Amino acid sequence: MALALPRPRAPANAGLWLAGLLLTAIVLAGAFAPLIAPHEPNAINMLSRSAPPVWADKGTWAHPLGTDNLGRDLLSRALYGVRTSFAIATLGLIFSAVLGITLGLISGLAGGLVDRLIMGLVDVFITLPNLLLLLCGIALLGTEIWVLIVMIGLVRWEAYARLVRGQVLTLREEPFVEASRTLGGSGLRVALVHILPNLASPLVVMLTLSFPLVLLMEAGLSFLGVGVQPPTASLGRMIGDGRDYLVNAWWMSGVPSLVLVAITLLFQLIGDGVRDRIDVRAHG
Amino acid sequence: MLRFMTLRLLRAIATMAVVLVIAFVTLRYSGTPFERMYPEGLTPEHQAALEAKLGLDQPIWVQFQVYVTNMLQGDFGRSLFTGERVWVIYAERIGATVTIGGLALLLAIALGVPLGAAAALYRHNPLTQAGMGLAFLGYAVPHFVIGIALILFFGYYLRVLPSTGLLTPEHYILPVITLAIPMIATIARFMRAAMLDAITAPHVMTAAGKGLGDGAIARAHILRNAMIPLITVLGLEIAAVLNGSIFVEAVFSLPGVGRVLVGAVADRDFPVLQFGVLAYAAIVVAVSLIIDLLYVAADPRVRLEG
Amino acid sequence: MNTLKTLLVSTALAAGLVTGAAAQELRIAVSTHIPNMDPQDQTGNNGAPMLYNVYDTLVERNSFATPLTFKPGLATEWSQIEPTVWEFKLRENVTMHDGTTMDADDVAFTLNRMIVDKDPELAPSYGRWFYNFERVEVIDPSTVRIHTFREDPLFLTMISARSAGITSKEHYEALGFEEAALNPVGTGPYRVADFVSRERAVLERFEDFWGEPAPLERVTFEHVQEVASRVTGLVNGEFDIVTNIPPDQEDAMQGDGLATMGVTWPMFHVWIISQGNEPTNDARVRKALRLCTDRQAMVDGLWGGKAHVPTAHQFEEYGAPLFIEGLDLITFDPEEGKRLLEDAGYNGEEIKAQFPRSYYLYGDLAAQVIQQQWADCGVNLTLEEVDEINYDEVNVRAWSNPMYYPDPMGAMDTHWSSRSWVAQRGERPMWQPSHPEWASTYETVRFATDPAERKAAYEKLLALGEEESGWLLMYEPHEIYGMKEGIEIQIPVAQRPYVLPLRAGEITVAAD
Repeated sequence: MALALPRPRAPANAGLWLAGLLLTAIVLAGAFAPLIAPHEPNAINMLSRSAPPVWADKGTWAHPLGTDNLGRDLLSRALYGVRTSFAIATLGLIFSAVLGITLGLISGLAGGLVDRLIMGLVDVFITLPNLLLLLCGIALLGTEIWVLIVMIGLVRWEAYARLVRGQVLTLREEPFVEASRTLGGSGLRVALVHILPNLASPLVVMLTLSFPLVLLMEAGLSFLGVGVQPPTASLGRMIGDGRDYLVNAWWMSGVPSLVLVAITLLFQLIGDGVRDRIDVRAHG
Repeated sequence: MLRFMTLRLLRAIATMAVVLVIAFVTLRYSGTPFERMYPEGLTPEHQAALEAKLGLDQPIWVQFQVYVTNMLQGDFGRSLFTGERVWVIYAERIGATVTIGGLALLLAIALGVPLGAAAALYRHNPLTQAGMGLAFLGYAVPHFVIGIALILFFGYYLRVLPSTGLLTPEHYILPVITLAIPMIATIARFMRAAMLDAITAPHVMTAAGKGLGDGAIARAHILRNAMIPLITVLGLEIAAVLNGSIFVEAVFSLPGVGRVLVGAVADRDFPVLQFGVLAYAAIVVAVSLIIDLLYVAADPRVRLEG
Repeated sequence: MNTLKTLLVSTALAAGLVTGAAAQELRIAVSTHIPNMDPQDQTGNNGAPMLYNVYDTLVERNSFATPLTFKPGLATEWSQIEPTVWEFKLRENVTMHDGTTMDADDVAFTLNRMIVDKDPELAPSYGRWFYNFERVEVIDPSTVRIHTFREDPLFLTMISARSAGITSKEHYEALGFEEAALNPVGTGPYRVADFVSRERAVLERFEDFWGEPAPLERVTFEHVQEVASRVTGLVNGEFDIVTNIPPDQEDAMQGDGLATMGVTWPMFHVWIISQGNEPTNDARVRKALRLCTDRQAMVDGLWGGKAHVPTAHQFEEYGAPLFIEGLDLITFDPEEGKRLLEDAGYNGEEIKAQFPRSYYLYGDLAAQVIQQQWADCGVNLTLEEVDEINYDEVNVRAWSNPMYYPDPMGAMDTHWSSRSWVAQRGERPMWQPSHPEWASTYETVRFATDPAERKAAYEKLLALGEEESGWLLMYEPHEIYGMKEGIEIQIPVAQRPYVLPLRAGEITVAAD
């Protein structure tokens, strides 16, 4: 077998497009859940508890993916669950990115004491166990959805800060930034005009790759029972609610698990694909 | 070298002090342990008596002072719930966590490194592509989903493997696999990327140009260059082991520290959690120090800076 | 050496010295475990299965008899020498698990740390059972007198509760409360060989037990939180008994060599409806909420029809002299509920329910069912699982009312007395009975010495309680014990819920 030496990357392949398409479909389905969900997601129907999915024995089209232990339609709950989980993950990610980018920019541009303080903070956050930080924060602030968003943002920001600071330190030495500074550009102007645009590609890669991690984090918290509160559906909550029924109604955990895995998998595929295309320096 | 170590150590101590303060303050403002101690309810009078006994009626800075004073004398206090000495709680449970985590890490390295390397060297082989596909999947499935699926399959349906506790060596199989799967995926993916980077590095190209054989190039240059990023990812994986063990221990009812930590947050068991956070921070700091030293070993060109 | 041992054992077997049952071992998976094994400290459902088998009381109950009757325990004789003074003759030569001999000092120490010293850890026991106990007086090494403040018709009932279990003074004085409670010492048929807080308790037959020896060699209580893991563990042969399995999982435990046993313990799952916080401080709203709750639908849906729908705050386990036959105080009438809500001017204001995280079996499911039932009456109920309840805001809190002892006061005085937290916590306590006759009627039920008078007063108290509408009785939950075939256990009606009787004559295990 011959050693494959570097060769030009294949252009965006069909797989990447397919993954993108599928993901978009899932996101849209979640976004328009109120329009397409066949049932009210929280409507309890004790007469149809733990109904199996349509392909299983005794399954019916009334509940294509079956029902949970309170007779709620799993397809509808999964759709709403995607919506909840996505909303939390997206907002959490935006929060962490904004926080991280801002602090990273300040740190890189200001240097000196400010830089040391911010990097010290980064050290502290790396040293704190993520999950415990989340759990403590939720214990402190409650389990409302905004708390989840803020806490998820807080545990992820330091990666952005480090990335941005590193890029700023490199770019600061570049002639065009030097020139702008000598010409009297303010720190803010330098940051906005020259540095941020150059950060776009690595940030996009990082965001795409962190999204599934954040999604899993939300799922993990809800699984442990400290995330989204009942009766609101979220994928992690649904998996957690169903684990007592694995033996006699596997679909309760199975359906949301499959959806969660599908989403994270698609994100991985797309993230890797995008990175390979953007990251020309590594494989040019 | 010495200066580097001293600086790193000082910085580590400062970091851990801040971590301790954050943990101490956050926890105390997040509520009291009493509802969890008495889920059937307790009277205000009873609560006041307990607060006085546990010293929780003191102002927070006094409590902190007491804690630090005792800590410096090696006394980390007792659990508010069980009355056990905090270090005993961890000493009794760290074995399970380290064993499961260590075995999982070894398994992940043993499978992940060759898989990633093979996938980089033989990119168009369907076998390695299938392997990477699986790795992709492993990366996307959360621990708790893998765990409950394995319990269901091997415990309930096949009845071949035990599902709870750590009574016999057989009991280790499912938890170790559960913890290892996402790590295998991470390591394989990382290894592949690092190898690809190394393959495209100029000196490898040169070596190839000089007509060295495939095997020689792979051994001499690529692996060595891929080692450095691999060391980094292994460091990160140790943190991942700790996070993952929280879920794995919950799913398999294992007597490990992960469960203690999660329980301590919910219970507001301040002394237990403070020790846990400090210990975790110490491990992270120590690991990053070791990794820095490994860098030097792997690549003498790396200089150490404070 | 090994060979010799094997030889000895096989010789013993051949000689019939070791019966099949005597060598038995049981592994039990429980859903909750306890932090320590102090009999006064641990009063919850989680400790009941273990503590019963480790500690003895001065007077024991006949566990399987209704109505309540007593038999000698650590005391061989007892008498009420004055209305407020009881004298006990202690059993001689009782060896405790730490090797010391049980005497009057141990009895006085065990009970006085709670009733005289008012040790904060032991406050729940004191408040629930022993608040009328004044002190224990040592007369001589084998005689104690127990003084009460008032004459107490429930004295023997209280002193035979496991929370009056006797431990070793020497042990506690040597190790201090924390360590002593983690290394429990009692006098019962099993000693605790290994205890890991909230994870595992290993009980072993105590060879020096004063009574009939324990039927089992070794019993392990393992904490397995997940229902699916307990079910799997039983099916997979990892456990011999698994507890706390909801009825809808019973089918998962059908199979070769397995058996199940359903138990409806005398215990209500309850929602407290706050009399303090708005909008439930209006009695009409509270009544409406109760009228809008369809308990039968919950029992049929969640519990497979097997849980018991209560008709009043009482249990059949009291037995004939005190149980009031035919009393039905609970109705489902959403129309009347809506009318009352309208009458009270309720207009969709938030009604806030908080419940302890994953504490009550199916508590979260029941909450969601009630949420929907109340919504049909126009009630806006929000649910939150919390670690700590905010008593200044909450309208509804989930709770359970186990029958701590078989008497009308066994679930009432232990939960709804004026000493209970429900009447004390927060700026506006959840429970503030306002009817002018409540307090005096309560007093009669608690302290009257004539059973007929107590029964009549209890009937009146229950009617008044309905007027107050502070409690919503949901159901008596039905739980499944899954076990290997050949294990025979009886339900100890005279003990508190969740006791797992493993003493001589209480369990038989067929040899494998």
